[in-house]
Amino acid sequence: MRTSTKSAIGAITLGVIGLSYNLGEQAVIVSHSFSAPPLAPSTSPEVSAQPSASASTSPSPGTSTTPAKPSTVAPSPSASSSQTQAPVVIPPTATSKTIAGPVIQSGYGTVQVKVTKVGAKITDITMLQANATDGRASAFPYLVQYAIDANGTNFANLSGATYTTDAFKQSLDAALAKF
Amino acid sequence: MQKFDRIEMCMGTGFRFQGQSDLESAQVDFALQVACGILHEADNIFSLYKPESWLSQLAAGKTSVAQCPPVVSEIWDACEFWEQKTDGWFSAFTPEHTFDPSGLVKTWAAKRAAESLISAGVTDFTLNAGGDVYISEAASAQFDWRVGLSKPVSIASDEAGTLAVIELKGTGFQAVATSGSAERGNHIWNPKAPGREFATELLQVTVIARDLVEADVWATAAFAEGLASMARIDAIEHLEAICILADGQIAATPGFASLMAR
Repeated sequence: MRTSTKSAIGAITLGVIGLSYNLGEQAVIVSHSFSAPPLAPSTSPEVSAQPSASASTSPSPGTSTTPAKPSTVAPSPSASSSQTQAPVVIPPTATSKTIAGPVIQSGYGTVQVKVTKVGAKITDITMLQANATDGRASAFPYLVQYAIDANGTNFANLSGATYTTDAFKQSLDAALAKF
Repeated sequence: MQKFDRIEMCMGTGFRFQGQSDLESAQVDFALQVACGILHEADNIFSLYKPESWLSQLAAGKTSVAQCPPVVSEIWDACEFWEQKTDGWFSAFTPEHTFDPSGLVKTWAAKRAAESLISAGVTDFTLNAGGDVYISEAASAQFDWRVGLSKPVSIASDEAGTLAVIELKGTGFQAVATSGSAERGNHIWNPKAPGREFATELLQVTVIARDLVEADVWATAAFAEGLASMARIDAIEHLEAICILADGQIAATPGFASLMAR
């Protein structure tokens, strides 16, 4: 039943190439069986649209002039090309600097981060406070890694998320603004 | 130019207004106060968790729509409108045959709150209504137009994080809504199932639209319908979606890929 539905929908549905999602223990690589070859123009994401869009976005106001690195969570085919246009250069003389963000109250607890940057690059984020109820604190290691990957919080809002993320972003953004 | 960032807890979730304005900070504060008042007023009327609310009274059969504030019949009409639009996949009528417009009220109120801010002259902002995101037309920062989509796992999970980032600047899209079972468990029933059982074919759906209510309603409807909703949504202009199936596979409308940030 489901298989037939899938193939029917497959004609107009796109398997998002490059997006994969690990579910539990079994690593599920996104099936490309959704993609419909006849719709070639839309199955290969356009690379021409605003190649420098992310390059002009600073991760936080006044932090640096180095372009925000495209998210590594959702790699897109053009990621490497936009990076060659505006490579992230860490000056050899860059020194490490660490600044703590403010304590942010979320609906589920208290969050405070400490950020270390070498030049324009975030190299470490430490949770000074991560009190979240109901086991929500376990989300923080991932948020830390994500923010390092993205060299900041390179999106304004998260759809489908809760306040724990917001509080983390608030403290991080505030810390970054002080650099 | 002054920045503002206000979080208002209401309807059991958080509403976050972030933006900037040329107005005096007192004027901005007042505009935000009025906007938040709209949210709380809607909550007071429509909350089914508050026994004294009009909706609770209505569900208990202690009052009629005609006796309720006019906004109740407005919401009732909106629910019927969207039920028709989604071919019955969005329904505000519960398995117990009571009227539960919760699926609409949050973003309906958020939309009114955003409109009130704009009419007060505060036009450059984003509003995150408990995970449903609205970007004002005049949002000036490129950054404001980038929206992360949460992975379909609870934020409490070790794997919590971002599935993808989309970039809506210049696309005409201003709203992103996500429905899923990860954070709140099963809470969307299938209006077409014989016993109106919970929908389980999908883990999560994100819909991108021009209007916040439209995005929210379609996210709920798509979650209820399952994978077949991708074709339905694709047939509608100015609507894109991405969904994750229970087995972890991802499907999206053909136009979705062009929205991904790079």
